[in-house]
Amino acid sequence: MADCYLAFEQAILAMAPEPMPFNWQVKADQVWFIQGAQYDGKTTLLKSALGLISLIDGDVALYGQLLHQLGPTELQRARQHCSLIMSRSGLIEPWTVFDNLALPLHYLNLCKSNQLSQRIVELMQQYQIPLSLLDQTVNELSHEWRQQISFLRALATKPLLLLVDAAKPLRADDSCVSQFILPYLQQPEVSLVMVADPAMHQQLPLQKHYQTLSLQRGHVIIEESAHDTDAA
Amino acid sequence: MWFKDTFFDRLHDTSQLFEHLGGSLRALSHKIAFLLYMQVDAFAGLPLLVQPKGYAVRLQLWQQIFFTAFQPFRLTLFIGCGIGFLAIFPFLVLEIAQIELLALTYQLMIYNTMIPLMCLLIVIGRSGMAITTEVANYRIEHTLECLLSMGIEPNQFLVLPRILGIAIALSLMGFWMTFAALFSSSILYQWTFSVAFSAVFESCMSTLSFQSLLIHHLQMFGIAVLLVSIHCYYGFISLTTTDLARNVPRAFVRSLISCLILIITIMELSNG
Repeated sequence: MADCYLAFEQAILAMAPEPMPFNWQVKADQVWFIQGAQYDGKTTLLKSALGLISLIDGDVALYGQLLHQLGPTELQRARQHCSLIMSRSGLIEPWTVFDNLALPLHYLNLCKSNQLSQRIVELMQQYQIPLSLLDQTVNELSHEWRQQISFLRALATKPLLLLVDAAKPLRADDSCVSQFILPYLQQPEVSLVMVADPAMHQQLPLQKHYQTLSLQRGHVIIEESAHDTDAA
Repeated sequence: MWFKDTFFDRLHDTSQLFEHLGGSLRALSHKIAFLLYMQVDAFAGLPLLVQPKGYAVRLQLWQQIFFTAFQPFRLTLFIGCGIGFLAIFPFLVLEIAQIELLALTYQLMIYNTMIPLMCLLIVIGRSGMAITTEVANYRIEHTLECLLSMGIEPNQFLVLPRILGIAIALSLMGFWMTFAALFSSSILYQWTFSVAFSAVFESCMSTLSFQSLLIHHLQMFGIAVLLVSIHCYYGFISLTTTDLARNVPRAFVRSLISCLILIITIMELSNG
């Protein structure tokens, strides 16, 4: 797997008015906090990273592969090592929690059918989610539970790159940060790009190299690494 | 001066008309391209039905068949009985005791026209609206983006099982409705003209040839493709709940008109 997970080169985000081109790379073991106000292009940036939205100009490469050169099957394969968590849960509401969690594992052949139940139970126990939820449909769950199941489904595929969008920038005291993101970041080679509160890096006990990317009406400003500054 | 003003006004109006027509044509071609892409992309996922990883697609297929064909079973039978009564009503009023004429009515009017039409109305009202709402909810809740990020193609995951499920369900509903119509007609015919139930039933059944059955199933498949594509399209373009509220009735009207045109065309072609 390429060391550089995600790379934007001379990219112009699909926004009006047309923003300036930017270069940006996300490498293994990096944490990026995305900051910006509403309509500044945070979601557009994350969707562009997976090729869900086309850029006005420039290239996006995922694991060293230029997205615009990939066919549908190759694109699907490239996206399998990423997980995107959107501001809404993104779950299939008429289905049970079990079916929602089983979907990526089954579809991506990450787990054999006879081991599926065991794998899902392990996952629920690992992140301390009650097993009684498994048989409930998503419609029956509260907003908080939906968000937690959404995180669980994203982490079930063991992605190397986790992209987290949020309607409100995530804070260090948010339950999903302490319950899912921090434990997952303990694993080697995992990178995170997350819409986060400006004070997040001061509050999180992160071992990884972290940087901040600010967005202003689609203009990308990459700030100096806080980690490097501290080290200097 | 008067002529010039009017002429230039007309010219301006005409250019606006062409601009408007151009815009409408462009929008229409965009819509058709979207629908065609959706259908081709969905049918490219047919191998998923037999692959182990296609479990979710098969699950949705069964759910769609159950929801469309089995849940409104009693309603389908009731409407079938109503069609049978309407088919025989003129015979009862005018006291025409000709089984052959009744069989001909079934052949020309009931099998490939009335029954597909009534099945269509039930399916659009129940499943069509539900499909638009469900797909729009997936759009609003960002489920489509999550599916794509997991490497799952939404057209194959959402559209394909619904097309196949509704095609199968329509065929099943057509069968039940035909049976109910024949049953009610035969009972009433026997009661009024004292002709054996089996004689009426068999006479009407005898007009059901292999060709008419084939046409019936092709018609149902065509209706399913059109109906699901239109309802999914209106679901996909709904970005907010306000859009959804606007698009549900639009989807109903468009799919009803398109399927009616299809039914009438096939009826004309099959009857020469």
